[in-house]
Amino acid sequence: MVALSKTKLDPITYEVLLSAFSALVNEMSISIEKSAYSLVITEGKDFSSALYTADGELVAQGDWDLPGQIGAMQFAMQSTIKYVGKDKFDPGDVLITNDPTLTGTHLMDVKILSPVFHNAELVAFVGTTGHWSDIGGAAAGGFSATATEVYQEGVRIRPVKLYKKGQVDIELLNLILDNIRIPDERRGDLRAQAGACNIGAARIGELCDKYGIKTVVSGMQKSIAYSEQLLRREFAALPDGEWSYEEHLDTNGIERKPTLLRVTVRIDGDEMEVDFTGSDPTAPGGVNIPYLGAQTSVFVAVKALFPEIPSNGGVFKPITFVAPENTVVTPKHPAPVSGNDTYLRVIDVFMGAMAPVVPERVCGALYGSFNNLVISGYDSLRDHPFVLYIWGEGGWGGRATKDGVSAAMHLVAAGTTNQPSEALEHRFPILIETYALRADSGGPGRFRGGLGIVREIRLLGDNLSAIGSGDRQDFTPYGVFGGGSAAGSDWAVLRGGETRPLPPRFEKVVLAHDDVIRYASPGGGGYGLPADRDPKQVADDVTNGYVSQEAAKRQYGWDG
Amino acid sequence: MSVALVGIDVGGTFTDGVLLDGGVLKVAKVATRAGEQWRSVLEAIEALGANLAETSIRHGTTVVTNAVLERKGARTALVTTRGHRDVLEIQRAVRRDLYDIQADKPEPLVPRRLRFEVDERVNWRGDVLRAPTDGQIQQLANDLRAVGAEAIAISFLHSYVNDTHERMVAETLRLLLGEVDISVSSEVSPQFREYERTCTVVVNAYVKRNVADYLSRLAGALAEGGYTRELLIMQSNGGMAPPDALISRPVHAILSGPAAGSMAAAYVGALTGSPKVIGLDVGGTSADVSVSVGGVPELGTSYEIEKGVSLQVSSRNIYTIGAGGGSVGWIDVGGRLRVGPRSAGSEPGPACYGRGGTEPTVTDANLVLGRLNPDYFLGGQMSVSVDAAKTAIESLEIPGAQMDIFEKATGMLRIVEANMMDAIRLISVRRGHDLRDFVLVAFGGAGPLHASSIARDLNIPKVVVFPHPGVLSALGLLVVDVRHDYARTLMQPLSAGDLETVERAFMQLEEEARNQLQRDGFAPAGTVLERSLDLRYEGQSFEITVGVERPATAATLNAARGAFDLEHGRLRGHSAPADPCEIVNVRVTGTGLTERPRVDVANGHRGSVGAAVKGHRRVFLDQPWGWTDCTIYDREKIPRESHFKGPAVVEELDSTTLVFPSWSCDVDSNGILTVSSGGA
Repeated sequence: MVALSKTKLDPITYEVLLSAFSALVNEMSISIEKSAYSLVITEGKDFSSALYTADGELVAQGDWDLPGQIGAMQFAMQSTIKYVGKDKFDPGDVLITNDPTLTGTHLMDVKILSPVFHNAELVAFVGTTGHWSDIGGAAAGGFSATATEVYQEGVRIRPVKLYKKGQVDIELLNLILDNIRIPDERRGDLRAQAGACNIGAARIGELCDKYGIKTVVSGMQKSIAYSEQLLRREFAALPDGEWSYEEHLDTNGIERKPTLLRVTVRIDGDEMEVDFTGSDPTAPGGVNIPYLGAQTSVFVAVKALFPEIPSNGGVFKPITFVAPENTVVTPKHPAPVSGNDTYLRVIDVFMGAMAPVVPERVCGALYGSFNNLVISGYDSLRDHPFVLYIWGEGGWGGRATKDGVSAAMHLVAAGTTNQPSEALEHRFPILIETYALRADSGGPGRFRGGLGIVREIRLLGDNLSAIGSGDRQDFTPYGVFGGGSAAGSDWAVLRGGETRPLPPRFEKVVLAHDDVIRYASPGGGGYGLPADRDPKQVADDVTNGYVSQEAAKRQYGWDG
Repeated sequence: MSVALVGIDVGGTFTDGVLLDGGVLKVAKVATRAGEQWRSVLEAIEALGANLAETSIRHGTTVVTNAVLERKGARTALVTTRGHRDVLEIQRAVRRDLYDIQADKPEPLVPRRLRFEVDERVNWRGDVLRAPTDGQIQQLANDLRAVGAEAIAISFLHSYVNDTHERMVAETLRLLLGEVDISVSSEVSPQFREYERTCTVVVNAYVKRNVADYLSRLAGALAEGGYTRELLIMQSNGGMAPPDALISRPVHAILSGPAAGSMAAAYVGALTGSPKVIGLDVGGTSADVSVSVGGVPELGTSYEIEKGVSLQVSSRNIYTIGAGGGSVGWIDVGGRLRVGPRSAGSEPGPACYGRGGTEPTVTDANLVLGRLNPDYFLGGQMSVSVDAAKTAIESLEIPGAQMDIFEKATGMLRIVEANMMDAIRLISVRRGHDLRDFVLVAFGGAGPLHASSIARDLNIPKVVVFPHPGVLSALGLLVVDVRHDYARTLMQPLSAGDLETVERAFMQLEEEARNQLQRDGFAPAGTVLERSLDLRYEGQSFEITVGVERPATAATLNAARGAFDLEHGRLRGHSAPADPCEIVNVRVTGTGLTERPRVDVANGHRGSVGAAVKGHRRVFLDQPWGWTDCTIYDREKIPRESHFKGPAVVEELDSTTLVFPSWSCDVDSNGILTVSSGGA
């Protein structure tokens, strides 16, 4: 009998396998969401699940997983395999890591990874990331605005086996949990993530039983090749050349001194090179991000530009990265890396560079600021201390054929939701006086940028203090092709009749009972010349109050 | 004189009718007239040959859904608390797609220029911080008149705990504006979370006139034909409501048709002694999947009509995907063979219809593989072209693959079935179920055709097919009660809470339910009131509903708490019996019991199974079988309480069922087919 030298995967089985891969990572994600403890996971949707080849290439990720983790998951797995050694895995192993340099995100994103064996053969890996509500360090929750070293940001875990051949390493587990706040909750998160890995592994096992290992493995490989091929085709259709863009963050993480980010995109045939040369050196404060984190942002942007390409290991192949050492995106250890708005700014500079290349696909800049606000104090009515954490939506940029979306979560956090005012008021001593679209915040253009929001929160607690970060006060979201820039962030404390502005990054601002804290998030940048906007649309904007009469006159020459 | 029951279910393509007279079932199928559903209802009744004077009619409609999806409701204005009119547009800050820059949010039903604010405020405890002034309401009335609002929705913050301001503004506006529809959030849905509540009251206001117009037109036409009884309409909760009840809360009819299908699936499961049922309803464009446990489809507390438009209405949990007989097979830019979600619909329809369609559909694939009988399409009423189907399937060129037409056709089926399987797996796994405990009730024109393959792959032991599966949803209309669901947010700790407040809240809702059922014409003896609670651990953001006994005492609430811990463990994998728990909503369900009709669907045919054999045909079955000589059975002639083995194809007027080789098919005393791989 002649043995088949190679398993030929028929297109139908391939399609069925793709569907099964996608279903199994979705099933893993459902399982995490339902059973994790961290609110950032269950409410903030800050988690993801992944299936990898035995070489650690991403095969599939959950449909509604946090986009910001798209690249990080691939990097975490490949770094782990390299670090541990491919031949060192056993059935029943479960690994944990959160090392920013090896995985590309901040310490709070804890990855749980597991090899999948079938008939003693390593056929795949599965993994999950969950943003834990705490990871130890100086500030509860992990985002320290005063950290000057990564050590102050929390416990750092290089890839290590938490379970060896199915047996948990209690000592290691205790070592980790003993250095984290509320360890019992984190134990719950860990259980949820490891449980999801078990589900994923079981499903792969069923597929191998049914179709054979060779077929399943070639299905995974083919799906990666498919994405690579699609992306190469897209790149090949673009003109060859070199395009640069640069932008500033408002701060260096400690002071209100701008930090420059610069990117050069080179397209050559069916490949792309992304070069960060020209970006500022490592910053003193936490605006740095790990190199792999900057790459993750680029992959999110690529996926946004070419949404029809399934995101898996294939999209990483036609893109290479260049950056000198010791920059804000290649920070020198032990610089702090909690990062935050920098992930967004990398997307902005990349999109800015790509605008002339794919004008029909880009939009004006997104609002570009997470608008994190943490208020802590004492709730006298309910008689307990409280910590309120709000993250924010803003405007998206105008597009080639239509206006930008108003008041939506950022691309990297898409899928997370806002919190109902009624729910917040039930739980915290606050009164939300205003939660509204912010008129005139969208950048003018033929297609206007979406609007940001205004939230005015009256504080009814005592012993109050606030921490916040709302970049894009000094450098506002840009417009494209003649479109105007959007209104920037605007933060203030209203007390009596007085308005006290707040800087883009602030910590431990002391507030009093009955103060109102107001934050206005940026809109999105405009697309095309405002003069080319259909007068009817301008009139509609005025009627609906998206654009004031004054602004309409100034920006569009409206004379209604 | 006996009264015949008539069920009419309007779908996107067809309107299905069933008539049940003295246990005997008659069925009919007519084309749906878009925009004139009431005519389709009359035509279906006519096709059934029903005598209107001697019938009682139950109806499932898509009027509400269509008005929302097509944005064809009234010109609606929204009145909110000052500072919060944009809640309808901000929504939950989520776009329709995570990545795609071109993806938008759903367009709000009320544009910003029609959204008005009133300077009023109530806090979370119901304390009035600012009351609206007469002058303000006067001004508001002028504004509303000036913009020509046809309907008005009012939604103030925390109105579920204190509705004074909403009522005050509504009453004054009614006085000042006269004949304009006003929907008030504390009446339509007194539940917290302002976006969802506002959305609910806005949809209610938006569709009210459409529903009222539709029902009055239909009622008028029925009366002309001599109809005298109460018309009952299916709601999302799987219960009926008379027109008056529905017109006051039309938002509850949002999922009318699919809810009927899920109820029917549960009913059929119960008839075969299976309390755990996966319902698979496959039509021309979509497949609806439902899960029933304990004889009823699972009930959710909200329904998302579009991504991001979430309504606070009790709804049967139904998961819909774009996979049906009309789903089109196509090659994507990367050379992959895909099936759906786009459908050829009924116009032009599958290529084999010969109405100009050239793209290959799932129906074409079934025809090419011999699974469908070209000479018995819709019972022979419709002629189809196998050649046209072949040409269409043949046209699929998958780069780099040498496939013959049969491989292409089976490929399409495997892909579309994989999509259905993923939907079933997700909806059941999400709720913590093990599919091996379930039966698959397959219906809709195309459900039974795919059910055996799906059950085989998912390890569901049995496929159950009711006679006339194509119109089963309409039958579902006849086997349900009148039902009204009421909910109110309470928000207090479960153990340390004030029992009196809980009891009072329950009693208020029960009063509402009782009054409505009385208006519906039910004597107290014919009604059942049931209580439930939405509970969560303090600090969580999602609730779980559990039943609770009356009255509210430490003991009954404690029992509910125990049930919650158990359910939490089942759904979410863990529970925390020691952690504090809070009540979010109290709920009351009022049921007006209707008589369950006897369904004697079997034809009474007493001959042998052999007499039902109408021939043999080669059919291309799943791997490993391939081309197989199958016995073709005429379902009309299969005697009840009989048994036969595969390979077989069971054909009936509106559907086709496959029995694989070595599988068996049991026919019970009701004529229901149970197909399984085991069995003798």
